[in-house]
Amino acid sequence: MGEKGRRQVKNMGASIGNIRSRVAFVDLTEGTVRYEDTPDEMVRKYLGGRGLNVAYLYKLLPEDVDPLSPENVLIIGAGALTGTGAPNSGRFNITAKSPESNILGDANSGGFFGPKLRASGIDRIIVLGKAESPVYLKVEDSVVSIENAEKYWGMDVNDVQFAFQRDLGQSVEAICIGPAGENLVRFACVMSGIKNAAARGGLGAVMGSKNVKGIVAVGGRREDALEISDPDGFLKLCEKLKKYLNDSLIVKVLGHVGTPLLYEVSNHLGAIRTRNSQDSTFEPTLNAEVIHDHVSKMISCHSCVVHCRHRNIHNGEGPEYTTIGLLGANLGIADTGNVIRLNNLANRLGLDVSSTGGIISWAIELYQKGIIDDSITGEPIDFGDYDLAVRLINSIAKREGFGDVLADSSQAAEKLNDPDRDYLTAVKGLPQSDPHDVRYIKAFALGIATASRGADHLRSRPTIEVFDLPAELIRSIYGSDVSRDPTAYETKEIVVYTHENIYSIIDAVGICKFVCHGFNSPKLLKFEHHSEMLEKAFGAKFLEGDLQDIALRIVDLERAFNNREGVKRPDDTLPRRYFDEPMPDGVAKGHKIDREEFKGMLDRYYKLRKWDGEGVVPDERVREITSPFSGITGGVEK
Amino acid sequence: MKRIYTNHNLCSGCRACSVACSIAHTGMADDARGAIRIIRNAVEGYEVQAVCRVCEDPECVAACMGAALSKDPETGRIIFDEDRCIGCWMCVMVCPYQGIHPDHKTGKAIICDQCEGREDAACVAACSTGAIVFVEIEDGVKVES
Repeated sequence: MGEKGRRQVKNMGASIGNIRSRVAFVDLTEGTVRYEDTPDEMVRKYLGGRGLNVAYLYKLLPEDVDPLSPENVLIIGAGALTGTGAPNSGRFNITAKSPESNILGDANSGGFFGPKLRASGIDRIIVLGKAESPVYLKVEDSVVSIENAEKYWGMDVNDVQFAFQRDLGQSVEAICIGPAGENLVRFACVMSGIKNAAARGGLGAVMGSKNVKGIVAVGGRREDALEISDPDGFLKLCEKLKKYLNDSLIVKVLGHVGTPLLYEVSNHLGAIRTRNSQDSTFEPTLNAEVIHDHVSKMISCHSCVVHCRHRNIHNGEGPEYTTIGLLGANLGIADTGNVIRLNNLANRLGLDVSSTGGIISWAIELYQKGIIDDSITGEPIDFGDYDLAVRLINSIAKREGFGDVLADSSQAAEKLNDPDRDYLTAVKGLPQSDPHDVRYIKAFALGIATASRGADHLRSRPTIEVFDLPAELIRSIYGSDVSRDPTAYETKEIVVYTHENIYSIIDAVGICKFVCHGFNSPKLLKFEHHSEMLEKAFGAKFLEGDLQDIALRIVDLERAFNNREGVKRPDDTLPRRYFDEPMPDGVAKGHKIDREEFKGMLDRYYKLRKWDGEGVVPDERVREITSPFSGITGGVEK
Repeated sequence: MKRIYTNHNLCSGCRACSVACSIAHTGMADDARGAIRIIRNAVEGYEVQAVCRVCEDPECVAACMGAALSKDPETGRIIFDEDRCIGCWMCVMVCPYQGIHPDHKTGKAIICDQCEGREDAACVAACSTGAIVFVEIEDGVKVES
């Protein structure tokens, strides 16, 4: 697509209607709260959720800031449709500079907090500075207040939310950090409920560095809630879309067993990351149907039609595919109940399960290979040892002993005597979240190399690559012919580009990927559906072309942010093992990533994105996409 | 007469019912404004569906000192006159089913009107699991169709 093409989809007539974007700027150092409505032009250009979050971050954060210093900016923002009751519209994003990767940190979460935040009258909270002592933020009646949290400090994720309910009312919804966030573990997450996690990039540590234990949305008056422009029309539309989604086979299957269904698929392919990716097949004890024996009920996030979340019989929720992969196969732990117990433990402590599993498995392989020894680990460490995993997870969260080393994530490379991270499955310092070994499906490989927050599948993972879809359907998704061979390199840049665009809009409207086109299905909710919902809910007009343009803008701005932090072409790479070692087992046996082919794929991707050969967004484009920010003033006192 | 029934085994706790009720009755999206509530506690692991059961001999009506609540003898519905509600929450305290809710912001109670005047009950239409049904009852028992 040339410059001309970009103009063709340029937003000419988008109108935001009464999409509400009320921002509270909380300065913890000064102890002040200021309020501002996001300028219309910013909403028109970045919509909400992940889009507006990165826009604010780009504007407010100076470059080269230490992510754990008071200068970092922590942004919690709802999507445009979050809390409206649209199908699966419970999601919100948390954004800051990541202490794990030192680039963009941005995590999306479900649950009930996002809708409650909006019903309390606030759509986005921007946290600046650092409190002198532990605080929590209370949101009620469109006002944010800074409250003393001394008595909550030290509590785990479950206990603190229980205490918030006890002290502030049964119907409050909160986000919080556990001990891991308090202790500045670089992969601490922000939790909501007992399992929903804004997990990636260590944003819990950013919250902890500001001395914030949590944010509690209490509720609001009638006028604080979101006004729906066409109540009857919107309810009818939601009903129609829910019926459409409920008829989908993938929605039914996810509602029955949740994401663990993907474990068997990856295992069959010989692509389930096992023992730090040294192996690629593992035990059937982690198959979805076996997991299901440990589940008492499938439950859901706000307004969800899928209900893919397990309430397990070990006093927790989950596990997801990611958890059984990274705390199961990747640690060589096969016992179903034990893997679920590890999931529950990591959640209570507020740790990102992906990085937790990735970092521990890295250390174990280094120990196996004699690269590190007992002098640093304090004891022999090996795969398949559940008790060891429990000890390490606890010690990471408390930053005790060897756990204190591991708590630095990829930044422990020097101490672990693996300075080039040769044995760590990570990109840009962020351990890979997807339990799928990407040496086989080339679009997966390019996707984790280009993802704006490091090795992560939720930026672009094109699961539909494995579906063997008819050529005609593929053409309708990608707008051009794309190779149906998942192991082919050519045309896969188009796949990644398209899915990155789709997912950035999903994260901006605040809807779950599981009901959206492109993630697990070639059907489900598309841009046209988002447009329709935005129109009925808020009288807003965003044509499909407008959304496409917003998608390009979000991806470009995230890249421009990362460019500013020093990210360039050499960072868009893969773990060494993916290039050098062929996959050992299953259908995928023998596959690896060819360096030259990868280079070509990356070249073509940059060209499609209109970035230069070094992966840098051209200055002219940066000026264009940052122009809507001029209106931000940092808020006014209320 | 008709009654809204809920099935806790089918309820996933998503609160689509509550937010749809709120939109239908107030034009605002806030599940705390809904007359049907899903009282959930992730830590303790439950979700309870709380909605008016149009009792034959409603405790709320008997307890209402402002005479804001009455029972329609024809339809069996509980009629709520918001202007007469003084926010004493006696109804809330005596209802054995948490079927009537206090709105602490307005000082008025919120109770299900069975979507009188609407084509469908908003909560039923919004529920994606079939956990909510709106059906005829006779002598307090669901009539199976």
